[in-house]
Order: sequence, then structure tokens, then C-alpha cells
Amino acid sequence: MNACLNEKELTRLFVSDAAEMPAARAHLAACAACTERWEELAREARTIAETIASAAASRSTLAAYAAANPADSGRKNKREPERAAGWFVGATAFGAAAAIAVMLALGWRPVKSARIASARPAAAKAAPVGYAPNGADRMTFDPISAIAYDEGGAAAAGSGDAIFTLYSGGDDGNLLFCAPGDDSGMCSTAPGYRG
Amino acid sequence: MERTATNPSIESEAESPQIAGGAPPELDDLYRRHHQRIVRLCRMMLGDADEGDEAAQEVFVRMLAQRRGGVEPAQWGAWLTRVAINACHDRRRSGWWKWWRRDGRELVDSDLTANRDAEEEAITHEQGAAIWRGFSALSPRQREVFVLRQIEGWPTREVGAALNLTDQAVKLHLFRAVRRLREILRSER
Repeated sequence: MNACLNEKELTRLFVSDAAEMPAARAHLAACAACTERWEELAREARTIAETIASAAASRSTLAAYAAANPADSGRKNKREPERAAGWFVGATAFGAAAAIAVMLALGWRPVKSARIASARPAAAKAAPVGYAPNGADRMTFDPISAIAYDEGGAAAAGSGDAIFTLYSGGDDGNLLFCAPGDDSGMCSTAPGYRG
Repeated sequence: MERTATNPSIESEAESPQIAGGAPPELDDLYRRHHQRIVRLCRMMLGDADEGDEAAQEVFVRMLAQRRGGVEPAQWGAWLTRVAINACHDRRRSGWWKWWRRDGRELVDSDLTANRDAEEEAITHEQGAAIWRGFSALSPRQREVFVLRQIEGWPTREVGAALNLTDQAVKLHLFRAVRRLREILRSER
């Protein structure tokens, strides 16, 4: 090898074992310029190693080096809000999961949604019997509150009582608000009756 | 390649009484001989003084257990170094370490050694800080290889065996580490 070693080759030679790269070693032995660069590389590597070793041996040096590194401390400070947010999200998620677990352990079940599901067929059945005041032909039925609404959004009288509404559904199209057998004065089959 | 072992390493083990055919070394003797080197090694591997000290404590606890178990390694220096490497790996893998590592803490002064090399004195504080910063920014593998090859003076094969790397991988990591650190040193001059 006649050409001088470039930095990359010199570094490769430096990290290689003694038996490797014989041509480069031969050149190094013959070339004063490369030998000088090689010695400089070795000297720098030694300086680096000793600097690191000394720093690691001394806590005060490590502290001083850390203090002399404002970029790092700045980055650390920037991380604080992110970390706080991360903790908050994590704690919230954990708290919610724990609360749900406790509720399930205590026998809680999503009753409301089950009631809605079971009420739907009954409501659909009950809806046609809702009396439409003011001549409105169509009514909607809220299965949760068991209130029937006409097209104008007004609640049909008495339809808030789910028992009455559902109980009477389909039996008698005119008898809207009375339980069977209840024939008190409050019951009426007259159109437009509002109690 | 020049070796820059600045502390007792594998070679010094040959002087131990056990290797010379005498009685196994006393616990105090082992501790005195290797404590400084192991603490420093752990600090370099982990890039953190507190963590390094704790890892080194683990190493000596394991040494104690090894002595009580009655099994004497052929070379305590090499055994302790391997245990230190594993202890540092374990710490680095743990999520707790990752969290703790980000939470920069203040270092309390307690130097392991007061004597400093003349060459080390020649570099400025800024240069030293830059080198340490660059060293800390290396990948864990590069740091380990650099420490074991350049500072502990281990041969390539030993480093590869300790880190479970091929010889080529060891050289590649060292190549990158040396290049990077030299760039830093030169840029600070």
C-alpha cells in the first residue's frame, strides 16, 4: 500500500487486532506522516479514555460536567410538563379502571342500558296507543322517560307514567291513562282529555 | 493497539494469592482491590454516578454470595467485571431505571480517587464536559465496548464474549465510538 491512510483507515487500523490489515501496518511503519497521525490518534484516544475514567471516578467532576451542560438541563426542564401530563393521564386511566373494577366487584351492572333494551319492544308496541292531542296523527315515544311526544314536541298527558303507558299498550286504543279496573273520575275516553 | 488500562484489571489478577497457589483472597482484600474499578466501570456503563454506585453494590453483594457459596472463580477481577456488566444491563433494561435516568439528580461529592493523570489535567473543563457528554450520548453498546477495550484494556475477543457480540461487531462499535469522541475532542480545541 503506497497511498497514505485516510482518517477512516487509520481508525479502522486502530480498532483492529495486531494481525489484521498487514498492508496498512506496513505502510504505517514506512510513512512518517502516517506514523505521526497514528500517534496523534492514539494520544487523543488515550486522552478521551482518561477523561472519561477520571470523570467516572469523581462524583464532583460528573456534577461539574453536568452543570456545564446547559443544553441538557434545558431539555430536562422541557420534559417536565410532558412528564407531568403523562403522569396525570396515567393516574386518571388507572383511577378509572380501578373504579370500574370496584363497581363490578360490588355487583354493579349497566342496568340502565339493559332497561332501555328491554323497554324498546314494549315502547314500540305502546307508541301507537299514545293519544295525539290537537289532531296530530303521529307520536314519538321516549323509552327512557316513557314520555310520548307529538310532532310538535309536546308531551302527551300522562304518558310520563311508564307503568300506565306500557300496561295499557294495545289493549284499548281509547283508554289511555288508566290501569285496568280503575274507573275513577280521572279516567276518560274522551278525546283531548288532559287529566 | 495501545492499552490504556488505568486501574487494576484482568492482568492484576495474576498477582493474587489464589492464582499464585496460595489461600483464596480475603473478602476485604478483594473489595479493596476491585471496588474502585467496579464502581467506576458501572458509572461509565450507566452514565450516572448514583446508579453506578448502586450497581456496584449489587456486584459486591453477589461477590459475597459467591464466596459464601464456596465457589471461587479463577479470576475474581474478570468475574467481577462480568457481573458488573450484567448488573448494568439489568438496570438499563428496567423501566424504573429509564424513568430515574431522566429525572436528573444532584450529585454528592465523594471522589473515588484524588490523583489525576497529567494528561487529563491538560484538557479544559469544557473539553472534559464535552467528552463526557459525547460519551453519554453514545449508544449503550458503544459505551460498553469503549470502556472494556479502551479503558479496561480487554482484548476484542474477551469483550465480544462478555457482551455477546462478534469480533466484527466489537470493532464496529469501537470504530464508531472512537470516531465520534475524536470529533468532539477536536471540535472543542
